[in-house]
Amino acid sequence: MDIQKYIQSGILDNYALGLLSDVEKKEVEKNLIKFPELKTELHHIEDALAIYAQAKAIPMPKGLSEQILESIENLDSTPSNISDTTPRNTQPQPSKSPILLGTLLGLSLLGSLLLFKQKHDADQQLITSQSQISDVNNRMLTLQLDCDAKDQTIQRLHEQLQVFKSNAYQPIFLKGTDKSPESEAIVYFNTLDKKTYLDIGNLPTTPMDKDYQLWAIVDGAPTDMGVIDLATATEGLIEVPYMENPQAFAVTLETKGGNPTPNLDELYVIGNVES
Amino acid sequence: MNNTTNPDARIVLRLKNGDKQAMATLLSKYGDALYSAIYQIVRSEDIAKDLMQDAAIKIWKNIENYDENKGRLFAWLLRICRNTALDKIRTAKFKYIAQSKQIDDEAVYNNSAHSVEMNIPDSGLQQTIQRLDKKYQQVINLIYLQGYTQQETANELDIPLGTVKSRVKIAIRELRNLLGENPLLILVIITLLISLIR
Repeated sequence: MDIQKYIQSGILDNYALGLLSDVEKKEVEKNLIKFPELKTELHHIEDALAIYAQAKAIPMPKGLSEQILESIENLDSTPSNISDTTPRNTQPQPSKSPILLGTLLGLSLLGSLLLFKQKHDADQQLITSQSQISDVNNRMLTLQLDCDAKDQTIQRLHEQLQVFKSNAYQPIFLKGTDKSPESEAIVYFNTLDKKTYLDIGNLPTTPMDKDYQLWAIVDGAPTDMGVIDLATATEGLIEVPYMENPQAFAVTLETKGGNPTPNLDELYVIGNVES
Repeated sequence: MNNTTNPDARIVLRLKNGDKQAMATLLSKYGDALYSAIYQIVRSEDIAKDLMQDAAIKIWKNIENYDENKGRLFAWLLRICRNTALDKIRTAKFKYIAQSKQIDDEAVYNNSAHSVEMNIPDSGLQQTIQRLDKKYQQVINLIYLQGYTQQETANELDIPLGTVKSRVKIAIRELRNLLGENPLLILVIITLLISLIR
């Protein structure tokens, strides 16, 4: 399995958000065990979402925590209260005939054995059927993933087409600096819908430990617009955050994950916004 | 080999051993976030309190079913809380109460715009999260915190299903970019901060 492709399909995002069907979920869970890289990736997604949930949280009402702990404390005593009352009504009658009881016991044992054998056979059949179903499911999932990926590509291309068709987008051409004179990139800037797209043009590939980072120059100061995901960016336009009143856009090469301020020695392309 | 350590391994072990004190630790760590998710769905403090209690009991009784191989503990906890609240709002009684205005009206009908504020004493983190474009926050709020399907999200926000799907993907990517490569570290810091102020 192509792990990167699997991750890029977004199936782990959907798993973390609870958007998958039971069949898809089971399949992902199988893969999580098989491929530790997937588990690591899922943890990154889940941790990011957990931080989001915690940052957005409102505090529990006062006393709720204690109330919950108290009800859990009382949980264990509840079942024993019930069992205190039940035996009284169902007190067994003293046995009249030990022989009859023995016979019944023997018969019921025999019956149990027969049932057990039948169940065992049925289980075997079930396992065979389940593995066949699982094979079919696997094939369906592969097709589904393929379809989803294509669906997303079409969606993305459609959005990009809108950018090119729309007059609302102002193209800002980012020219290569002395560092990389051949490089070019284009930012499409839309003040109407407050949207920005980036075409990374022919920026050279980055070393393993580096990332490109996009900056907007606002009021003369560089503002971080995020690290550029090359895997997506090489397939076409990527949507980037929108900034009000930028004077220019620039791309620098930064250490992996980006930096709070740009390294101007590694400035690759820059272009001014015409007002 | 798994190269992200499980920050909740100890608490899970204690819960599985029936240690009731572990439940207090769990609530102080995740209680607010779980309660918020429930509240965002039902929009009534009284109902949310009851449901939080129900959900906590489910968590306590079913902790054996939590499988570390299927994801983080918080994801499992949130699923239980979300489902408990979603089951509630599907009941006829709840719909009746909602109609007779015992529920925060404005919030129910405008819940995607409704924003609840945080309690984490880290304005830096809050600011970081706020840098995530509102339209991405909306999809995460609706799908992740309130259990909407993608179709329901599309209807709620009045945008095409395809846009919801692409926003989901970008939202998570942007969120991860904002938080950097190691959100686990931030989680640990949040936990420390919370335990310090309690």
